[in-house]
Amino acid sequence: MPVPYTFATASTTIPLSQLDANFQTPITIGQTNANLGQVVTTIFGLTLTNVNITSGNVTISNITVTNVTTGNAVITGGTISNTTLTNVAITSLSTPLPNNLLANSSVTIGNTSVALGSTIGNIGNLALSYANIQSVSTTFPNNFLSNSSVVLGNTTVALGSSALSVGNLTLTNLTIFSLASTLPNNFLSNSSVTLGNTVVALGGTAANIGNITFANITVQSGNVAAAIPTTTIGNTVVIFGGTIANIGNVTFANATIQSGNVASAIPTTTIGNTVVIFGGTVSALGNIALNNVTVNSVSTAITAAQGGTGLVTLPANNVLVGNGTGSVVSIAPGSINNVLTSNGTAWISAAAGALAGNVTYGNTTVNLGSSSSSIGNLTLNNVTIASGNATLTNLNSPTGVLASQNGMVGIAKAWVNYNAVTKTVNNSFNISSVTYSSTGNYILNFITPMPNAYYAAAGMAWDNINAIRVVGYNATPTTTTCGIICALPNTYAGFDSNNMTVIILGS
Amino acid sequence: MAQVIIYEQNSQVAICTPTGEIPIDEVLAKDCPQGAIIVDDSVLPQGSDAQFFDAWELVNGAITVNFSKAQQQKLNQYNAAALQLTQIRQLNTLAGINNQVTDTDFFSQLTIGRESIANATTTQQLVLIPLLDNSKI
Repeated sequence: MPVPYTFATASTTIPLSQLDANFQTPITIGQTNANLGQVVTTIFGLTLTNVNITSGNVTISNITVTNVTTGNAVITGGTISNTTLTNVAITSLSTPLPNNLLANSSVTIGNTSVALGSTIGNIGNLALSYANIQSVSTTFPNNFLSNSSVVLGNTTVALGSSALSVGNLTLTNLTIFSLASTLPNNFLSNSSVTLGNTVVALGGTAANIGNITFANITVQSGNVAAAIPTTTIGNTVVIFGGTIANIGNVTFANATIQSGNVASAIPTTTIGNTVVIFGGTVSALGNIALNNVTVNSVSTAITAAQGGTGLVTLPANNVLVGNGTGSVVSIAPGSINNVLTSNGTAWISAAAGALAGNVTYGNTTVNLGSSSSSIGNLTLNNVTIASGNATLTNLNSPTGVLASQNGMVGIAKAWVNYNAVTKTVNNSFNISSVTYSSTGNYILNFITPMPNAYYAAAGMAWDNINAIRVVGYNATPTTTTCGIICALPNTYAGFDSNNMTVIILGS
Repeated sequence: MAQVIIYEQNSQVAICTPTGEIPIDEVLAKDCPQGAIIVDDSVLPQGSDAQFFDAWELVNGAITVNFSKAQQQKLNQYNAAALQLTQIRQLNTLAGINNQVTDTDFFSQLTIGRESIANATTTQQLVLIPLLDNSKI
């Protein structure tokens, strides 16, 4: 069928009615042939430029946009779903992506997957290079820093540990509050301090230090002559190392002159209340007290008025007697057995005359030359009567050898009366205790031991049960104890008596 | 209140009574062994218990009376006294002297005494049992 109208040469509008349904001439849109009046679902190879759909809705499903290079593509409103964007470069976003958009996304930082929009407690295996941490909420703990290190000077220092030394480190405006130990000289040798107005190299020598004030300085050795050539003592300038003839207006307190003399320097002084000229002679010193003075010699004897004896020598073995203001007088011993006797006015050495008068012994006055039958309240110690007889009619000595009676022969050295049933002692002498060891068996303990064990003991016993008892030794006597048994005769079975008496006699 | 010193010696109580001539502390140091203690004499058994010294026992610092030992002590004393009288009776027989009590009565009295000792239950009863005396010869 011929084409009634030629589109290529058409000079007027071809009415749509002339393009009927049977008009089968296809046209090509993009790379797709489309029959007019037909529905084409897919058009390939079609490029739309500046397409403006002004109304209606366009639904694009399963769209793949690849390498969109045209700018200013604006999608306003609507939803793009199930769309894969590949190699999309987002150069800018007019507003941040909202959290709910990011909530389902995550990124991996280090080896930790981090959900966007959430909080992550730890991120592992993360290396930060050239990171600028402007602040941290808390200080880094040591265990966090322990695997890290920093370089101080030219030394790598492990954080959290100690570095004994740090090399090539310059500290500026450093304030050291304290040091565990003093800085060694070799450490200070390259440093310097300023004393007065002079910079002094530590460890070095400073010839001069200007404008410095020393207070309470002690120079323990050496001298300061060169450093301080002169000083002023009193009102006199003194040259160190030189000789000074006079020093004016100086007050010495507690000065000790160990050698030399001060005659010319100090011509006079005052001793006591006397002015003494040094180098001169002083005949008398007034109002002076001397302590611990040794006088080696005196030219004349010191009189009694001066506190002396008036004698240069004292006669040997004589007795000295006062003589008023005159020299003391002496009394020679005289003959053997002479005694110093008063003649009423003076003492003389004369033979002793017969004793007469009364003396008192104890509380008894005895007329010398006569006899006294008794002397009361007299204590004699260690008295030995070499001959004759001493008669004691009433011996009662509370202590000493007579009390123990060991010093006397022929009298009881100990005795005791006791009740063996009630275990009580009625009376005793020189017995410290009675020990009841079993029925009828007793030990008498002496206060003053017997001189030996060969003493004699005698005992008696009585009770109201059976009158027949024997008393004897139950052990070998010793000087300190005597074992006694009270028993029935024949059987010698021990039997306590309520009235036991034992007497000990010996030398 | 008097004081005495007590201690144990040979499994028996020993009583050391100071005479008062020297202080008790000196007696303790001088006359008694280590471990002896000073006590008031009121702790010593009194009355009939005091008669049986060999029955006294020291337990934790206190003195008690072992009644079995008290019986044995009484029996020993009883037998000793009986032995003494028996010997006298035998000597009388050898000397041709008539004893005051027949052998039958003597041994009957001896048996009664021993049974009384065995049957006693207190030291008061033991004390009241008389030893055989010369009237039983």
